Amino acid sequence: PAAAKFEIPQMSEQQRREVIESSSFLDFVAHATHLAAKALEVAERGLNIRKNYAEDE
Amino acid sequence: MAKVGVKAQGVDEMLQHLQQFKGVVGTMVVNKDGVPLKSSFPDEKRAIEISTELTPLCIKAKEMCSHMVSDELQFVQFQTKKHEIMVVADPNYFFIVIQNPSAA
Repeated sequence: PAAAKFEIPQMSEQQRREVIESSSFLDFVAHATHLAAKALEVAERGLNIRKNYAEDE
Repeated sequence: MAKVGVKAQGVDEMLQHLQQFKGVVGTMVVNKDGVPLKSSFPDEKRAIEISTELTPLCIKAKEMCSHMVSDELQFVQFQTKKHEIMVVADPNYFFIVIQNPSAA
């Protein structure tokens, strides 16, 4: 059987604002931004290596 | 205390910082149920589409890590021919970055 479609629950604007102002959210975003920036740097380095390799070939 | 400095910049600035990387299409933060909390995608409908596709996959990946290695998922990366999709996971949130590295 086909998997049930994933449903995103509703959240009021007030609830959303409370979450994005919470320290757990801000801490997570700070941590995640740092991690994502590292991953983007690695991805860019990998792309450059692949590009150089393709040019050498 | 670097963390406090980053916090003071605000979430929008943090997301903006990632947009400066080459080819970043968009970034978003959703809660564990997939509700978009912050998004750099101009179109809200697109943000919901992405969350609807990615959240159940990430929930499954979290469960898998928990069952298979009794550990907590931290990061998932999908590599396609043209895009990289990165997800930073936490017990309460997912942070999603979509990049098209070959885009100028």
